[in-house]
Amino acid sequence: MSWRSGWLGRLVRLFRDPDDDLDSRWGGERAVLRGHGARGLDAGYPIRAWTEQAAAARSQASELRARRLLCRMLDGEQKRELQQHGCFTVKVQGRGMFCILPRSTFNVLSLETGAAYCCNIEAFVPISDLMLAQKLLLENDPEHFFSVANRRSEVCAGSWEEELVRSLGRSLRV
Amino acid sequence: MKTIRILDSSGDRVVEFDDGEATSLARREAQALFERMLSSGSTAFKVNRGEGRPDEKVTDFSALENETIVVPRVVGG
Repeated sequence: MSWRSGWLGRLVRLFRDPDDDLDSRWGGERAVLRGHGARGLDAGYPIRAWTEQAAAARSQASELRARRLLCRMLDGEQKRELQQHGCFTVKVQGRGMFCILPRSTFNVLSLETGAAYCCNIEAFVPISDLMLAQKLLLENDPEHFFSVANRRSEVCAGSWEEELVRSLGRSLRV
Repeated sequence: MKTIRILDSSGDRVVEFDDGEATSLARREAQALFERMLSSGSTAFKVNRGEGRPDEKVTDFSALENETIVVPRVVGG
């Protein structure tokens, strides 16, 4: 079976929009897949741009820049929590307190119920940017946050999260 | 001078424009970018508003204040 009729061909067609000028959109660079069955294939989607953005988002310089912006946006109490525990709490009207943890998935914990919420930015961003986005959404547009976020209703907090919650002076209500 | 910060892989991208000249190129470019971001699902918030005023969601370019943070489209993880 050639790659054109297999899963790879379907994937390439899925990503390739005939009306989309990929060359201009991705700086004139077109990705090349390598490996068995796809040697030299011009895939037409931006593998290099994608990996470069992912790497940039994880770089120390990006994280430092994002952390400075986050710190500037936090109030005094949130800043203290972040410095002491690496996470901070936000108050959501009608829904109680939430703790935003420094990780990329299910990192928003309800301190009332113990439920964990996962709401990510579609683009690659440093963790501190994600935490800032979640803070802004929870405090100013919670309907949007909760309409998008996936929720794990069981108490999924491990020992690390439980310790954090304890150290923040609150307890999970099971 | 007003500032729009768009969260991205480098931390944030800064777009600055002067509100004084309504027809200036920088302002028009900033407005086009702002409207394009919002139409693609981004959310914008007025921040650092001074005088103890809280952050606020904003959808109208003319209502922007000194500093705005644009959060790209969010999805359930």
